[in-house]
Amino acid sequence: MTDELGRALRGTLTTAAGEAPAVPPGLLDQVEAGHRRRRRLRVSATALAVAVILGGTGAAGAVLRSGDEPPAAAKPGKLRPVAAAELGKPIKVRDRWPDAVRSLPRKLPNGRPLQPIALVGEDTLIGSTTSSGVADRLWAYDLKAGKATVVTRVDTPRTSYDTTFVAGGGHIAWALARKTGGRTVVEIWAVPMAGGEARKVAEAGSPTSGLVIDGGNAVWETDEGVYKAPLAGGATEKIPGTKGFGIVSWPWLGSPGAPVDKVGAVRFRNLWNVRTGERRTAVLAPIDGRWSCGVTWCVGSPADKTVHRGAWPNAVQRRDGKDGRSLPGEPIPGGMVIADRFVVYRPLGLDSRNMILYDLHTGRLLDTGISMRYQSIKVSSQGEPDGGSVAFVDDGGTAMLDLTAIR
Amino acid sequence: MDDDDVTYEAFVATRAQALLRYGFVLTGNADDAADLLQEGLIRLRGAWGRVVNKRDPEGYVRKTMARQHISAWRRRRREHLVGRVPEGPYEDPGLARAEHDPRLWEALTLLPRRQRAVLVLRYYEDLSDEEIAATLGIARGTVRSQAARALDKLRADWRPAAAPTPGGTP
Repeated sequence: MTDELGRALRGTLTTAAGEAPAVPPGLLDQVEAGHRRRRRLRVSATALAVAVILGGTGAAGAVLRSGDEPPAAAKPGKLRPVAAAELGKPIKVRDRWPDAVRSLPRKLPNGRPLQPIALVGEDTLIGSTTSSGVADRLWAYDLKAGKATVVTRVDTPRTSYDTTFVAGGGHIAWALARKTGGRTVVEIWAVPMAGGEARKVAEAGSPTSGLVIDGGNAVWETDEGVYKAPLAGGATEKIPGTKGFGIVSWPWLGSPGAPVDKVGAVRFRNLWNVRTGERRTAVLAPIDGRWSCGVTWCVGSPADKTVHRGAWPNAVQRRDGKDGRSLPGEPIPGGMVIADRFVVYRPLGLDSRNMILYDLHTGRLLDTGISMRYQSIKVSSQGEPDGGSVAFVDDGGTAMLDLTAIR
Repeated sequence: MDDDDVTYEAFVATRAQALLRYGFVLTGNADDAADLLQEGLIRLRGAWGRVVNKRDPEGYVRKTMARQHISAWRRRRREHLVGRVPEGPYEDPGLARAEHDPRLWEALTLLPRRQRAVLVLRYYEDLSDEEIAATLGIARGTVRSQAARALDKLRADWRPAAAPTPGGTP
């Protein structure tokens, strides 16, 4: 009887499990919002990766070329409240800049979902497939010919728990964190985009997210500092004086690199261009919270202990203390600036199901036409000066947003 | 830096549905299952660095969901307790259909949460009593007694569909 009851329980529970509802769309967003409410905010690595790597290709280049950055003000300006009325109706990106958003297939011709890494040229989508949650292959998908080829197999050890891919300089590189002898180390791997066998470039440092390709080098940040190693093979080199720095937007590094969740903290307060030696310090309006900076812009959000009801008191200000604004609404994901110019932002009560960006340059809202229900943001870095794109992925498809097309 | 979140997203993307199924059998209804899943993932999100080092984020979430469910039962409203009887098995021939019993699913809704959790962990998760004790943070003896009580209650209300009770009334 007990056995029979046990068997019936097994069958009943298993069948009932199959009747569970589908995971609600936007689950990640809800979890993220809940996480913030718990005051345990850490910087979202997704947004961070977008900012870091996009900046590394497009935005930082623009900043570097301009070379006319005004000196930091001695005292920061005050934050100017931005009213909802001032924001107006979001501009439809697809209408105004038709080249900015492109729909791409979510799946390979063989039916496997492809996580985009980069769009190379007009029509080659570089991406990875996963098996049991870990990356197993890299692909080059010729969208015009409708044909996908394997660039390489990725041998992700079972003990690894993280993989970050970037593309540039004719290579795809990735960092994976692996346990070895009770310690976690980062392995950097690379393969030519044209195909071939993946090779281990280096093994150094404790895990972080920042990995960029700079010409023929892989550059990555770790808890101990920033390292570089030639993709073609060669000695790993730690860049001197980089302990405590993270990659903000290569070649800009910033410190403190780790997020600190307390009032007055400024992540990446100190900026250092390791190529030119230039240094900058952020001078920001005091807020009841903390700041997180990119190369030009900083985003402020409440610190851990602050309790807020209704609109979340976002703040944005230039690192040099100019053009500060308070921007109440929904929290800015990760508190990060994308491509040194945009934040994902939504005023309360905005009637749209799409992902909305706030353009820090123009003060306009942009309707990307991409559903809020994206599952993840992936980063495309083509290693080209103007090649910054973000891919939004959901079950239905992949939308590639080229931020450089927004004028 | 906090790079692990990328994998966190991948984890949620690949495991959320399985975790929701687990939440559904644990709670018996869709709303509570969704709440429980969200709670588990929020906690995982906050603890991600610690958890991935243990290489078992899923175990962490499942444990969080089970504990949250039993610890919350006193203060939660009980309006959802009569779960929807799953449909579908009637159209699904085969073993699962043969062994599925909607009346049993209904009877489970009448159990206290802790007893139900013990049964779910034993018969759905296939955990040993020791593992169940560790998951719920209770003594092994308590697992046994809770399971026994739960099975007794179910047995009182339930007869195998395929074996009619001799003498009529169950």
